[in-house]
Amino acid sequence: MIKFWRDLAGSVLVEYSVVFPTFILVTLGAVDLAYMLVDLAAADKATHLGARYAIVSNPVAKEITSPRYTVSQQQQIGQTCFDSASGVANGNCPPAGSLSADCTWAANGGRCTNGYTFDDTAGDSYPFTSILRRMQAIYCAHLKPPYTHCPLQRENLTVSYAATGAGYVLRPGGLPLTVTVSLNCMTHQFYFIGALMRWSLAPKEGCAGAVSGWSMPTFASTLTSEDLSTN
Amino acid sequence: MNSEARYLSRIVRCASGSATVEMALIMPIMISLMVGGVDFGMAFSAHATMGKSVRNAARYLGSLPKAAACSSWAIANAKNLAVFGKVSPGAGDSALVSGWRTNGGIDNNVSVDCSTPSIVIVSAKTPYDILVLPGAHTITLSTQHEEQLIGD
Repeated sequence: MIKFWRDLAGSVLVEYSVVFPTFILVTLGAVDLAYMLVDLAAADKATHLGARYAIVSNPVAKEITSPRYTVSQQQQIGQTCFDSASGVANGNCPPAGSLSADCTWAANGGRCTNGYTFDDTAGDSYPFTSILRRMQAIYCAHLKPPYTHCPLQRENLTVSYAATGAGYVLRPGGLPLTVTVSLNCMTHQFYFIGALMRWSLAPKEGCAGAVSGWSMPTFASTLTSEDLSTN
Repeated sequence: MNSEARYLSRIVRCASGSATVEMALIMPIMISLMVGGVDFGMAFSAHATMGKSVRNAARYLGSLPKAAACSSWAIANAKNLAVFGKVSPGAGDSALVSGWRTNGGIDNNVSVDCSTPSIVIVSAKTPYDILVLPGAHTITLSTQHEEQLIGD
């Protein structure tokens, strides 16, 4: 027994067997962590580009660029929608609250809140899909259209419009809006340490379906509308 | 040689466990390098978000009529647009960069400079807590955007 205890043969191998897995875990963990940061940055950048594209495209909420003025409001043509001293709405324009919509894609097709029509002109030319394609071109740069295997799909995308309260009566192209493009329910797959990250696979609140990876936070990017017209 | 000296020389020459000791020496350096990389990425991302927010706020002010662009309500709206991404945020809305505030003191704010005619300059500062040096180590991220008043 004592002879066995004092025997030093193979001690390097034993140490190596302890150190090597730890070393590999840290090294591959670093690679996975870096890749996660790349994924987060790509999703964030996709919302920047999506918002930039959305403010110069036809609106997803079809009627948001043609607010309905009453006859007495129309007679105030060219007047501002707000009191210059206080910034409060002066009643010249439709209320800002009525000029807002969140547009999403659900199983039964696209829909916008607040009674707005989801512009579903066929094919890739309609605003929601063209914004989505731009974002997929950033997030899935390694894939080709129609991005069938891209983890960023129309179910992840929300395009929101909200009036800022600025503008003037009968402004061509509608009143100024803030356009927010957000990505929800995106997941990230860990390659090397995936088996050790099972604890993190909790489904995110409000996200449907089975969770296939770590739930990333919601990404959002807001820009003020420019010419909300594709042509 | 006395017994104590012999004992010490045995310890010094003993090579067993050397790989473990080396690992223990290298590990803190490796981990702090990794966390430093993550830190840099997160600070960079926060700075980029601030940059686009401040640009958005300046563009909002630039689109207002000249008489209104530098009024206190417009500046308040622009600050909210920068920090929260909306003109009138609710109580539940959180800042786009964690910890960022519209008027949080000299190192945490959004400010609007209207002193140059026809130009609005929006600048912002936000503190970033360094992960690799927790506690008192904070750097201030700052950004600025200048926009012509186009009036709308």
